[in-house]
Order: sequence, then C-alpha cells, then structure tokens
Amino acid sequence: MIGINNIGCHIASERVSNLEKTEKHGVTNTFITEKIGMTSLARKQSSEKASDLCILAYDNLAERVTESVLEDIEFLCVCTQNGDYQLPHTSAIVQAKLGAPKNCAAFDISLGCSGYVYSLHIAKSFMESNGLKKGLLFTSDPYSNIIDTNDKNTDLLFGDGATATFLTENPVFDVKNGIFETDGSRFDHLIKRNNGLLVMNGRGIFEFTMKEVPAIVYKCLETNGLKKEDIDLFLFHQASKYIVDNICRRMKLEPEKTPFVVKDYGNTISSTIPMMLINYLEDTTKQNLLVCGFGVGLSIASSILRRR
Amino acid sequence: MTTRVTHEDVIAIIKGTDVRLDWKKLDHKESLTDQGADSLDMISIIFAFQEKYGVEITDESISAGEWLTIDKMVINLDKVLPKKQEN
Repeated sequence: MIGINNIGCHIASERVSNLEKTEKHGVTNTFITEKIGMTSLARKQSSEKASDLCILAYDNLAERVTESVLEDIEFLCVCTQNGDYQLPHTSAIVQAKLGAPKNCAAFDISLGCSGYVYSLHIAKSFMESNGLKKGLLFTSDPYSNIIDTNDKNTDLLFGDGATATFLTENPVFDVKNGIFETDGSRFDHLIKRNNGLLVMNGRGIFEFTMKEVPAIVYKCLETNGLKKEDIDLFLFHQASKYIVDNICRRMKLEPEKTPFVVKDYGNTISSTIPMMLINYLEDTTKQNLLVCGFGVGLSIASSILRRR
Repeated sequence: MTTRVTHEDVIAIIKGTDVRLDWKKLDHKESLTDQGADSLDMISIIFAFQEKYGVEITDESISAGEWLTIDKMVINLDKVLPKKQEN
C-alpha cells in the first residue's frame, strides 16, 4: 500500500513582521500574538513561482532520504491554486525542472487548505490503481501574490512555502480512511476576486470551522474504528491560533496534542499539515495521527495516518 | 421592558466563550470592543448566541452595531428569537 515515506519542505526565507503592522490595521500586539498567533510571515522573492518553491522543497526532501528519489518516479502532482500559469499545469513545469522521467503521470490538484488531505488520498488511489510505486506530492500555494496588504482580514495570516511528500510502498505512515465534505454555498467566504486579490469572510470561516471540524473529526475516528483517546496528535490546518485554540477547546482536546507551529512563518495553506508532519516522522511515540484540513470551497477533509 | 433573554443569560453565554473581560467593571451600555473585546471575540460571542438559541444573526445587523453592548444583545436576541405562539 502506498503511504508517506518522507517529507521535505521549504519555507521562504524573508520575513515580514506582523508586529510592525499593528497601527496600520488597528490591532494590538496581544491580538497578533494571542489570536493570530503569527508574529511574522514568510515571503518568497517576487520572481519566485510556485514551481520554484516546489523545487526547493524537493531539494530538502532529497537531503532527507538515502535512496534516489527521482529514479523510477512515476507520479507527480502539485496541489496549488496559485500555480505558475493558468495553464499549463504547474506539475508539468516541476517535472521538467526536476528532470523527472517522461513516463511520469503529472497533474495539479486545485484545492486550498484541505488540499493536502485530499491530495494524499487522490495520490494513493491513483498510484495503487495504476500499479505505480514511487510518487511525489507537492503543496505550493504562494498567497503573497494575491494579498491586499491593506486588508486586515488577510494581510496578517499567510506565508509562502512548499512541501514535497515522497510516496512509496514502504512508508513511515499508512494513509487510512478519509472523510471529505464540501459546503459550496459558502464559496465566496474565501475567494480571489476578479481584481486578483483575496477576500475573506472571517466570521463565515470561523463559524464553518467550529461547526464542521469537530463533526468531521468524529466521523473520521468512527470510520477508522478509533476513539479520541487513541490519537497521539491532532494535526489541524494552521489557519490561525484563534481557530486552532477554539477547535481544541470545543473538542476538549489536550493542547499538547494539537500543535500550533506557524508563529514565525504563517499559514502556508495546503503546506501547513505536511510541514508539521515532518517533525513526527521519526517520533515513534506517535502512532496514530489525525489530520484535518479546511478552507477554500468551503472544503474540509480529515484522515488518519498510522505509523507502519 | 421585559425580555425573554436576561442580562444574566447574555453574560453567562459570553463567559462560556474564551472571551476575557473585566466582569466586575462590565458596563452594559458600553461597547464590548471598548471594554477589551477584539473583533475575533465579537465573532465568538455572536456564534455562541446562535448556537445557544438556534437563531441566525445577520452580517448586516452586526455591521449596524446592533450587537456591541450587553443591553443591545439582550434586546436584539429577544427580537431574533421565534415569536411565541398566540393561543
């Protein structure tokens, strides 16, 4: 069965300070540290595109694994909604930049913050049904391209980064049963308007999250025959500290089991979950991990990663 | 004026959220945002009302400032609650 063998990541090296934006947006330092939870945001170079971030994440992955990653790669996909071009698909560009073999399936997946969980399942199913043994799943969604820096709702949240997940038949984590849901009636709660800028209905997103995340987590546990107590870590999409804290409080989860790790680089969209996962690849005390992504769509997905 | 929702009800619901206010000095007529609540706190409070009473509170009424004070919350919750059945 195909699962997660290893993960590489790239977090853009430049930082913009949220604490220097308090006056501009009429908020306090406490609001930034306690509610947003991100004191600075990672920023890519303006010339860098989604595919460039993928290559940097791949370079990091290549340093982590002993075997040749590219050799016999048969599958490559990029989860992004801010690809290099509207067409072609960014995964084709990544395939070329990596020098990956031609006999390599490549496609993009258009999803935001739920994207990693969805993409894992799509990749696993596609690879298994076609007998593919080695694949690369990238997440790269550089939101700095679409942020209105005068908009308090979005200017304090998003950072640039990418991840590369190595999928093989000898994984560290098996991908168990997932649950996937959509509320398209709220499509305009997080949307890139025709002027190219992101607009977010913070209240709408909060309400969706508080109602839907606990519900899907319980469904995911049930479908996998698990109880809350069986989970060693709940890796929630790092939307903001406020969102993660409220999920934790609402579900009565132990804070130690619900990490919030994006203080220094921000919400990297579909990359937040794999960026957290890297920290636990070798931590054998963590056997069952629940992952849950939610956002643009509005879309939500949850799954269990079980250490092999 | 008698309302079905009391000041005590409203304060109890707010205390059930993560919102931190100086409860001893709480002024029912002053905006909560002037008493330490931030924009995310207000979202939490409105959401708690919706869950508690099963009502929908519109963006328009929030933008119009109808949910800023404890007094206004009491009055407007009473307004959005379903009307009592007439015999």
